[in-house]
Amino acid sequence: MVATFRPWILAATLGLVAAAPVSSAEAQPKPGAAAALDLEELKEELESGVTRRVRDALEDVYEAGDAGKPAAPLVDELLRRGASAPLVLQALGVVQKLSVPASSAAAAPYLRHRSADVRYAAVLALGSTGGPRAVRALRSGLRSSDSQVRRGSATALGELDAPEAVADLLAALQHGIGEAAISVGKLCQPPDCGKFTELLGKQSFRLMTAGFDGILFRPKAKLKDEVKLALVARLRSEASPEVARYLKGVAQRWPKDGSRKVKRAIDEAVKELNQ
Amino acid sequence: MRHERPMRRHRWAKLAAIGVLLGACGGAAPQLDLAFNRDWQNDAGASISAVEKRVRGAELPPNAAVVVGVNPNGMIGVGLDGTGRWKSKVGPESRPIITGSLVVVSEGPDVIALDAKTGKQRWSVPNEGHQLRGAGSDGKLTVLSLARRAGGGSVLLGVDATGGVVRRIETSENLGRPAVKGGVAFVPWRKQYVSAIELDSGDEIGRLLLRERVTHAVNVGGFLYFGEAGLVRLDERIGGATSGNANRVGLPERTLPGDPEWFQDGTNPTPTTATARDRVRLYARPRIEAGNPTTDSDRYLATYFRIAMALDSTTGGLAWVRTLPESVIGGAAAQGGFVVCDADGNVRMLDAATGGEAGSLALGEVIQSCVVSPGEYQVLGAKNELSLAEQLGTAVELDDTEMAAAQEFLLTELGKERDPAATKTLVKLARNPRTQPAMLQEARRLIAERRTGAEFMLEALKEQYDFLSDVLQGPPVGPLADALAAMNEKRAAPLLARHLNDPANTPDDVKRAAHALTKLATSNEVDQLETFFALYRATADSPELIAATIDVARALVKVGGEDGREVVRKAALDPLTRAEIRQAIAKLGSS
Repeated sequence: MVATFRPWILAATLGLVAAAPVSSAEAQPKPGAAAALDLEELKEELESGVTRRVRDALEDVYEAGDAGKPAAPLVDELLRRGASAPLVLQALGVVQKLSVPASSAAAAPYLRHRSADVRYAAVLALGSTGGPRAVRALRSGLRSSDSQVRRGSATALGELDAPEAVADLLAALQHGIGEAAISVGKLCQPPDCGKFTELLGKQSFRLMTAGFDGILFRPKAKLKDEVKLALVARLRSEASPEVARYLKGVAQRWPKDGSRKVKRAIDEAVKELNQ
Repeated sequence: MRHERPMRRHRWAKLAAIGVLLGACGGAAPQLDLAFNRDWQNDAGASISAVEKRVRGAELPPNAAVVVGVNPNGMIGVGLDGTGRWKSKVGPESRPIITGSLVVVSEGPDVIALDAKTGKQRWSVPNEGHQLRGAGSDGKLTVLSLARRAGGGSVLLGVDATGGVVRRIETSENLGRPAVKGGVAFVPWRKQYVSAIELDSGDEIGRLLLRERVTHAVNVGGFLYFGEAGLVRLDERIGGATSGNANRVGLPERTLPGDPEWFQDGTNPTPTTATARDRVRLYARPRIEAGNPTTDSDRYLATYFRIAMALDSTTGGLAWVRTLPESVIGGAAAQGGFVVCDADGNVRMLDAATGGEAGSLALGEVIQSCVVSPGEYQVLGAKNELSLAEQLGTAVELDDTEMAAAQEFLLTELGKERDPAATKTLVKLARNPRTQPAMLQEARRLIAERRTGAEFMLEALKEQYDFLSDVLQGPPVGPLADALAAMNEKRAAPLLARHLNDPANTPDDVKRAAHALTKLATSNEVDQLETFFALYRATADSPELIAATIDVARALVKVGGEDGREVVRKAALDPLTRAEIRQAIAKLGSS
């Protein structure tokens, strides 16, 4: 097996780089990597108990990209057995890369590991694997004593499109977890969107706008215009310069195929607020 | 009320030149030719015995039962039974003294005696520029101890019921608080003597030598007592005082918060405004019953600002605790209970047996200090709805850093209580983020030693750190684990297993939880045990976590069946497992 150490894997798991998806070029498996994966051999290496061999095996799975997905259960098994901290971090990085929902069960316990690095790596992994098990774990992550886990969980729940987490995210926002605003904006449905809007004036406006974007720019099929119009009306009633600036920016970014009714309401609000 | 000067001229002026009076006294009593003579030879109690015999039949009325508060407007007095409320504009320059039926104060150039029941002036005498230190009255005569303002020394005045000075003695000694009975003044001095001075002649007709500090002579229930840390009664056994054979009432040796004193040094005038020493005091009413020296109700009271605690006079054991709304700045021990007052002018009567509030009075004004004279006032019995553990709980949970010393003391007392309520309080303390570090450490230590209150412990363990629910301090998992394991409380197993995998718990808590699980775990906890073992067998980075992992392996082997044993067996062979753990579990899987 050929193994090259990729520092970014560890960096990502340590939160040193953004949790943004890996660029498409990086995500692509190397030509021939899939063919090189021998699950039997891989299993043997992952169970070898020899740090170098385990590390190399994990590297191979990572390199394989999507073609490495069949190896996900073997990586899960490694996590279930437990390993040294560097190997656990690497394994969670692989889980994050493979995005196999079934891996959530193996990654979830690490959200409660005593090592902050491991916990955060688990957040990133679960934000990628998804599925009910991941959502459940990340919701519990909002309650963690670790602020990095709380913030990461809030972001991940939004990315996983987990509407069942909106009530928790609203509570998180009220407890100062700003990242929850974006996720609530992405996920809320009435009456939760209304509850979010009620926080206007109680949370920083800049924080709230991240969530407002999620509401206003959500496709009509996913959120009715009435909800968006109610938000515009609420913002209009605020009548502050920062609201005027924000709505003006929304109007400029409004998609061509976006709701005309909502756009009209935004334009009217901008006009009134700029008078 | 402004005092009026009596028209009578003071006779002391004729005697002023006589610093020390020579005289003879008839009868069989040994004669002493000089008052406060330092050359006096110990007479083994003979002279004081003779004096006692002489005054034994003399009447000594009890002091008035009254409380007097002082503030910049003057004084407020009220009978402890709520009658006879009065106000006086007399502004005392030191703490008022209630003796007999009088309230004696020094104001400006005079010592003034007011009627304790009405506040009306009875008499006044010039204070000669000295400070009032103490006064004692037997209803007919009053003896005053005045302190020179500089250089030490004292003036002792004997005053009759009309304000006539019948005796004046000046001395370089610092005298204590005097008393009078049957025309004889009893004057403590040099902190070891009590001179008996016949006021008619000025002769010292007897002397008591005590082997302990004596700066006070007080009238309690018609008996005179002398002392400071303990009190010796003037009775037929007084002659044995020097050899420790008198009737002496002392309080048990016990370290109490703030080192409170029963009586402060009586040779110093007491300031008008209450000090910290007034807030940290002991109160007891001496009583000798069938030759057995004790205190009334077998109780004494120790105050520490807002906390009042009654202790057993024989054993020193804690009987009850009251947490009061304000600091106690004065008080007294009465029959059947205690009377305490605070700076808001509130006066409370506390039942000696229970600590229940038997009554209360309001002086109606904020005060700087207060003086309570219990006289023969009887505090009635009153129920206390709280158990001692609950009383202690209220006191130790009080959020007031000024109470820290008392709370640490009471926390130890709380640990002695078997009442499950004590467990509840200890757990609450250990979970309160505002608990001081020393208290927290002690509470955790005491929880670990508890063997009652399992329900409260289990209830506490159900909670975990939860940011969204504002549970920011988890339970004291380690101490609870110790206690519940010692109690063999199997219901704790799932809760402890859950805490095992909560990073909000300290490594020490986790270690103790794991150890408890070696005893308490059942097959229901296998999943949690396996998770912990997987997470830490190769990552444990502290002695506590290593110990916890080894204990979890033991629990897995015990309750995890063949699967559990297999997990441990494989881990023991896996080079990734930490060496210390591998070594410790090597034989577990096959056992």
